[in-house]
Amino acid sequence: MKDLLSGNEAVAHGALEAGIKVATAYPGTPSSEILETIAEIKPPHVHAEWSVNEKVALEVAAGASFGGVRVLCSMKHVGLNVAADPFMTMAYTGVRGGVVLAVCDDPGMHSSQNEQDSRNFALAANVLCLEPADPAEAREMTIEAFDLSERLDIPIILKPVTRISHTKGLVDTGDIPDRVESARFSPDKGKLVMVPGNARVRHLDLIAKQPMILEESEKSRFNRIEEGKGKMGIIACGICYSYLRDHFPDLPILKIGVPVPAPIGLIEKFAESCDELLIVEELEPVVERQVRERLCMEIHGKMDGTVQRHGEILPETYQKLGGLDVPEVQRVSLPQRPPNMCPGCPHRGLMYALKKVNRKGVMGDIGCYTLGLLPPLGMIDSCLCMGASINLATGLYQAGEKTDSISLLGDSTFVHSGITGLINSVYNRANTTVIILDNGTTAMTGFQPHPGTGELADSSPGGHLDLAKLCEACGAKVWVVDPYDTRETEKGLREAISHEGVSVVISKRNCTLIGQRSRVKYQVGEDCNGCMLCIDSIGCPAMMPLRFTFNKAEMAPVKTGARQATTNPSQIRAVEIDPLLCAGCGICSSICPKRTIQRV
Amino acid sequence: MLAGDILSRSAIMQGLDVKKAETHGMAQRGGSVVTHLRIGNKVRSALVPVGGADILISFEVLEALRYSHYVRPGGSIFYSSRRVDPLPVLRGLEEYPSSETINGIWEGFKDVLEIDAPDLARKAGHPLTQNVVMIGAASTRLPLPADSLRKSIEVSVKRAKDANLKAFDLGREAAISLRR
Repeated sequence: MKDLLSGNEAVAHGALEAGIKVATAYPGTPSSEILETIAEIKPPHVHAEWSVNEKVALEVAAGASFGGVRVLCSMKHVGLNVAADPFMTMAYTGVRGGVVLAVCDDPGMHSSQNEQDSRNFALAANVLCLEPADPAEAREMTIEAFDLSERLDIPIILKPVTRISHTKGLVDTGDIPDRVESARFSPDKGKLVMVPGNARVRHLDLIAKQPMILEESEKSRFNRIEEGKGKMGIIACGICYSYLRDHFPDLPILKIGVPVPAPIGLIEKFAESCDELLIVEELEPVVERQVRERLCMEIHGKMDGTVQRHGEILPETYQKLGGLDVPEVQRVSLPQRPPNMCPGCPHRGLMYALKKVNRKGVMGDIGCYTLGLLPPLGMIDSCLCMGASINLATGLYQAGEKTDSISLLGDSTFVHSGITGLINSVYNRANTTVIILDNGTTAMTGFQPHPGTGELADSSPGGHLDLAKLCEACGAKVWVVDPYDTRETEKGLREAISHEGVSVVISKRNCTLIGQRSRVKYQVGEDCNGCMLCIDSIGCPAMMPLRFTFNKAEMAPVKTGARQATTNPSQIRAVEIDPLLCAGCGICSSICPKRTIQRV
Repeated sequence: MLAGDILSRSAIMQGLDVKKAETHGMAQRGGSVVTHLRIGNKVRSALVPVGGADILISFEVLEALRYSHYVRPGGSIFYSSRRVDPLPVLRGLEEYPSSETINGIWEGFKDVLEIDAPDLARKAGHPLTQNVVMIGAASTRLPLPADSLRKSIEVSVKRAKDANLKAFDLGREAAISLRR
C-alpha cells in the first residue's frame, strides 16, 4: 500500500514488517518519530520503550537479541556516543536476532551540538552501514538490514540524515506479521561472555569475516552503476545521489547505499570508464578515504576542497558541482527571528530568579532551557553534551574557581545522565548547586515521557521515579520551588547556593504545551509607563510594545498602532499582552514594578 | 505543515510524485518554519534550490520577504498580510524593514499577491483556517486542479471541514479578483 511517509515512519514500518519484537530508543531530533510510530502502530507482540538513555536502550535491545528476537534501536547521532560501549563489543559478540541501529545524523546541525558522521562508528567497529537516499529506500534498507545482521552475525547501522528522517515521500508498505516468537535464551559463553580469552577468539572471527562483509556490499542492490554522458564519474552516497539525479538526469553516477565497507570492486569497475572521479557525500570523507586507499587516479572530493566537509550540502551546491551556472543572489538584510521559549515557559521564571542571584558561569545542558542562552535572559554559559552541566560545574569548583558553582538541566536530561554526576559531586565533596528544571516531560524533542513522569511510550502507566527522594538518597539537600513564583524561587535559590555541600533545587512546574490550555490570562493595566522591564527581562513572546503618540491638544497619549515597536524616546510606550498567546503563568505580573499587570 | 500535507495529498491523487521536507524541533520554538515541496513525475529530493521555486506561499509578511530569494523571476508569491514581529524588533533592537525596502524586494517579481488571510479566515468561520485561505489563493497558480485540492482538504483536515472549504474558496476568489 502506497502512502506519504517520512523517512522515520518508513524505518518504523520496515522494522515492524521485518518482524521485530522489541524497539528501544531515547528521544533525539531527528530520530524520535521512529519509536513514536512503532508505539502508535502498537502490534500486540511488540515491546516498544523509551529507555532512560541510549546505552540502556542498546543494552536492552541486545538482551532481547541474545534471546533470539529481532530488535530495532534508534537514536540521534550523538546518542551513539552514549551507546558506544555496548555497540563496540557487540561487534565481537555478534547477535542472535538481527540488531539494527537506526542512527540519525544531522548535517548542518538543525538541532544538535555537533555534526559527527556515524559511518565512522561502523568503520571503528568493523561492521556494515547502510545510508538511504530517500524515505522509500530507508524502509527497504531496514528490512534488508535484519537479514544482513543475522547472515553476518554483526549489528548493522542504518544512517538516515535529517532530510531523510523528516522528508515525506511515497512509500510502498507491506504487511506486519500477526505474531512473532518470544525470546528463548540458550547459553553460549564463548559468544556472549567477553572475557579476554573469549574476546580474542571473537575478534579473530570478526577480522576473518571482513571479506564476507565486503562481498555483501559488492553485491548489494543499494549500490549501482548508472551510465551516462561524460568522462567525469560521480560517486554519490546516500541522499547526495537523490539531489544529483534530480538535477542531472544524464550524468554517470555510481550510487552508494553501503558506504561501509564501500564496494571497492564495483568502484574500480566504474572508474575504468572514467578519466576522473568526483566523490560526493555529506560530512566526513568516509567513502572517499576508502577509494583513495585503493585507486590511483584523478579524484575530487572533500580532501582536495571540491566538496565541503561541513554542514548540509544544499541544492545550489549540487547544481554548481554538476556544472550549472548558479546566479548569485543579493539578499536584503532582514531582522532575525531567533527561537524563543514559549509563553508561560516555567524556565523563564527560574532563569529570571536565578539572574538576580547569579549572573555568570551557569553550566547548562541540552533541552528547551538551552534557549535560556539567548537575550534577554542569557543565563547559560556552557552546553556540551547530555548531563555534562553538573560535572562541568563541579569540575570548575574542584579546580579552585571561587564564584558559585551552579548547573542546570532538565528532568529528562537528569535521568538520562545527570544522576551519576550528582553522586560524583557528593562523593568527591564538591560545593555545588544543581538546578533540575522539572517540567514533567521531554519537551524539546516532542513531549516524550520518562521515568519522572511515570508514563510509558504507549501512554500506559509505568514506574514513577521521585526525583526529590532520589536526590536526597544521593546525599544532596533538596529544595523544591515553583518557578511561576519568582520571589519564592529566588529565596530558595539563595539558600541552596549558600548551603555548603551539594544542593539540588527542583524547579517544578509543567511545560505549558502539555496538558490543558490555561484559561487564566493576564492583562496590562492603566498604570503601565512603558518601562519595558517585563519585555527586557523575560522576553515573553506574548508581550509586545504598543506605540503611542502624544496628542498635544488633548495632553493625552493616543494609541496609533498595535504591535509596532519603536525606539523613539519622544513616543510614549506601553506593553500589551496578546490573549491568544498568553499562557497565564503570571511571571510578568510578579515582576512588574508598577504592579499593573492583572489577572483577568 | 498542514498546508504541505494538503498539497502533497492532492498531488498524489493526481498520480504525481512528491517529496516534502519539514522543519522540526528547535527550529519551531518561535523560529522560522519552512516546508519545501517538490511535485513532478519522479521526484527524488525535497529541497528547492535558491531561485528555483515556482511558488512561495507564506503565512506571515516578514517570512515571505525572508524566503523571497527562493522564487524564480517568473514565479509567484502569495503572502498573508499577517504580521508577527520577532522579539528583536519588539525590543527595539532591530528595525522592521521600511516600505521602500519591502517594495524593492517585491519589484523583482511579476506575480506577488498579498492576501488578507486573517480577515478571510474570520469570514470563513474560524481564525485557524488562515493557512487554507493561502492555499486557496495559491490554487490559482498551482499545477493541481481546485477540486483535487478541495478533496485533499476534506481528507487532511480533522476539524471544521466546512470552514476550511469556505476558507479555500475565499482565498481563491481573493487571488482571482486581485489579478483583474
